[in-house]
Amino acid sequence: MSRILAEIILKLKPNSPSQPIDLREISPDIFAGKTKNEIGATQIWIGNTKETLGSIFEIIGETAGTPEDQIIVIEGDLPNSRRIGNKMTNGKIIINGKGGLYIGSDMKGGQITVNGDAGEWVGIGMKGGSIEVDGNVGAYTGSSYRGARQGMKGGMIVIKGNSGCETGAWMTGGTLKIMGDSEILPGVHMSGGSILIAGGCPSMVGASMTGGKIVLLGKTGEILSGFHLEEIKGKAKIDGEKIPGPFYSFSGDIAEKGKGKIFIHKENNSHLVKYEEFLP
Amino acid sequence: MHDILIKNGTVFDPINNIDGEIIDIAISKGKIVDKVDESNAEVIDASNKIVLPGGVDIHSHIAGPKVNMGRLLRPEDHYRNLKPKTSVKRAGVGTSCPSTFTTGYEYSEMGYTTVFEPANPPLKMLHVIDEFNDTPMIDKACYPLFGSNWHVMEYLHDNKEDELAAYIAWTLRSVKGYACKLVNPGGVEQWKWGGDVEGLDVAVGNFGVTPREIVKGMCKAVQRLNLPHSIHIHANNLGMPGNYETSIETLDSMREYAKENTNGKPNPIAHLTHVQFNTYGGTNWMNITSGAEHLAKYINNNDHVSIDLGQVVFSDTTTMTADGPFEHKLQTLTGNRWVNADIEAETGCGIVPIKYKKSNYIHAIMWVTGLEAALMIDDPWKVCMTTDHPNGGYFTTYPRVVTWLMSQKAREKYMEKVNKRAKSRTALESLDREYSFSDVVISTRAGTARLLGLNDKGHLGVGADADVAVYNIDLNKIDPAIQYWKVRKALRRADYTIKDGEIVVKDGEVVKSVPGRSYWVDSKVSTDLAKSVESEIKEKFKDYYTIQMSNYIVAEKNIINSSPITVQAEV
Repeated sequence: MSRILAEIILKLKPNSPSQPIDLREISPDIFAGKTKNEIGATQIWIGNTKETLGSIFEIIGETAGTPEDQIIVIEGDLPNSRRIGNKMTNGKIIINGKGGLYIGSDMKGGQITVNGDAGEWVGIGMKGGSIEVDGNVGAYTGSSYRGARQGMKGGMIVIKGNSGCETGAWMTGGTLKIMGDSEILPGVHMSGGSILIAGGCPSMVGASMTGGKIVLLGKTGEILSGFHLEEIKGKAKIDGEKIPGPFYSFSGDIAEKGKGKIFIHKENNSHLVKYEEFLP
Repeated sequence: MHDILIKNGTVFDPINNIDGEIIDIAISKGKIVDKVDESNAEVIDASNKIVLPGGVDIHSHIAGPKVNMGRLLRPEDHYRNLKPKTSVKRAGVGTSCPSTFTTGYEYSEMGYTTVFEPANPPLKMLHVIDEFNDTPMIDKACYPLFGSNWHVMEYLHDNKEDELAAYIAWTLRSVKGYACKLVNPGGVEQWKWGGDVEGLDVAVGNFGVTPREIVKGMCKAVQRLNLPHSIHIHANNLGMPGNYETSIETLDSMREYAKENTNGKPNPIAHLTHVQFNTYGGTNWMNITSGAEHLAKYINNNDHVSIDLGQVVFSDTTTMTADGPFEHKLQTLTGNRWVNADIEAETGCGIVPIKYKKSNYIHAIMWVTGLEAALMIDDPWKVCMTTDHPNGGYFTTYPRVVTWLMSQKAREKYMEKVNKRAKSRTALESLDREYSFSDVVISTRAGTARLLGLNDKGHLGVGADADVAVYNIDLNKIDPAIQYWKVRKALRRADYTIKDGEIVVKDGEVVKSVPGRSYWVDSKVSTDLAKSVESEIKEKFKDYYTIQMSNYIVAEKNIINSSPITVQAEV
């Protein structure tokens, strides 16, 4: 029997509130098997007041019996929202507009697509599934919460635009791809997984990293002193995909007794040529 | 305030020798009474439910500067538990270092009504009292630290026993403390110079007294002051392999002051706290094992000691203690971020987050040690159930610890998941003792209240404070040894919690916020001695402290529901 996908559309009503909106209830796991009225009556927090989903969204379409058949489409800009797709395990969320903070936090499976920009903390503590953002994102993509040591553990995040600081902080697994530029400190404290930055990064790539891999195609500043050049490689691998080089392959961060690898594209970083004399 | 009648509940009240009988409990004007007029009273139908005295926690770090520092250190701890406001509750966050209001609510929702905060620098007591004022629902008190106090060590060095006792009485009265706490006696002072004391007979630099002299001197002073609670000790070498010997030596040094048993029950003069951290065998981190057997043997043979467990529950928590050198060792082991502080002439402090893992051999040994101590010590009146919140685990995990004590099946089931080597090197598997409900009530309520000298708490006799907890456990249908998870679930959320004659929790949710009392002890020493010691301390303040004595003293008007307990000292 073929699967029947059900699509439900949440259309943001005009004059939506400007306070933070906690939308952790928007998840295929919660929507599946519920009626539209039940979804509309789901309680959410707007600022410090309890409201319902129905008070800010017009709810169109239908729900599926199980999360994997459920598609949720959100129409409208929600830069002040929080935690869309929190802990989701299956199904699909599509946001046509700006996404908010903590999109796909602690996500375990399924798929989230944002056709627009998203805020900070995209996919924090993510364990599986995939997130794709069409525009730019803020800081801490795929990282851990402040103070915690459990960053992204699995799954895939693809950002088509630029990303903020500390992308993939405390990351332990999974794949993170930034197709644009990244701000400083990508992969800080990371111990596993891989990060691809197709654009440039000002500096401090992989600070305090103890494991994992960062591939940087664009231009960067000085490499941190905790890293040493091991070899020049013709290509780098991210998630099985071969990326043509040549790359300077650095290892570190020695300050943390780390064995992380950073691959910096040789042709775009002519200032790193001075390291070549230290090659074994 | 309505009168309340709790009808047909299965009552456990070990102090009054009631063991699971179906009787009615009548409450009027905040006290348990003989009977009330049923037509005027609010009737709670407790048939097929159990009725216990409100919980009394002897050792839980819930307020003060170190808890607050823990809150600052651990933003991720807040993020895990977000509690929105309700019509009666204020909003709050946190698991291992919850905010003050959340602490009060969560304790109350578990059926606890009294919680004692076990370690605070006298200098920072204004902060503690302020947090107490903001911790609703529960009665509380705190134990100021004396273990590395300069004045104490100077008096001991000069053999001024009377003055020492008067100084302790003055401090408790001034900063509104309840009992004396010793943390790594002498060692915290030594740490300020980069060292630690490894044994009881190592002299503390600059003062020339040994930990043994501090422990004995303080024990004697506490007894002469007739304080309601005995001396509360966190022994030297805490957390180190083979430290059970130090713990036993510490307890044995005080045996000469032991008191007679009263009413057939022991009358402890020393309370060894969080024994789990104090009772390891082995010689290094590779062969560390449980030393609970040795300690249990000692405590079974000696009646001058009581303990609380400090049970480890596998979780991501925060360790916080005045034991600076221990926290330094823990930090070097874990590499985690940390806080270490020096508190002028009084004590120190350290905070390190830790994640107890089932797969880790040392953590598994810690888990076993606490349970072994609880199961090997025969007399439940000597054992208090705690997790040393937040050092071993959060206080919200108490129901889990209780089920481990009550059910061998629960232990076996859990043991399958912990480190195999730890399992094979300890005796926990062979212990088939299971706590009865009465034993649990003793170790969480009756015994703790008795050890704290709270005569109106921990029981449901006429005249007791009307602090009652009703749990939805039908003992006709549930055997705690088999369906332990049902007991755990029921203990986590009380059906009713009654505090001072008012229903404050209904169906596991706070329905009324009440402030709770703050206890402190005023021990009256002879007027001449008190005067001469006070003027002496006033002089010392100029030399030792960065603040004036007048700013050190906590005024009673700052305390919500201040409840002094006055005792007559023998000096």
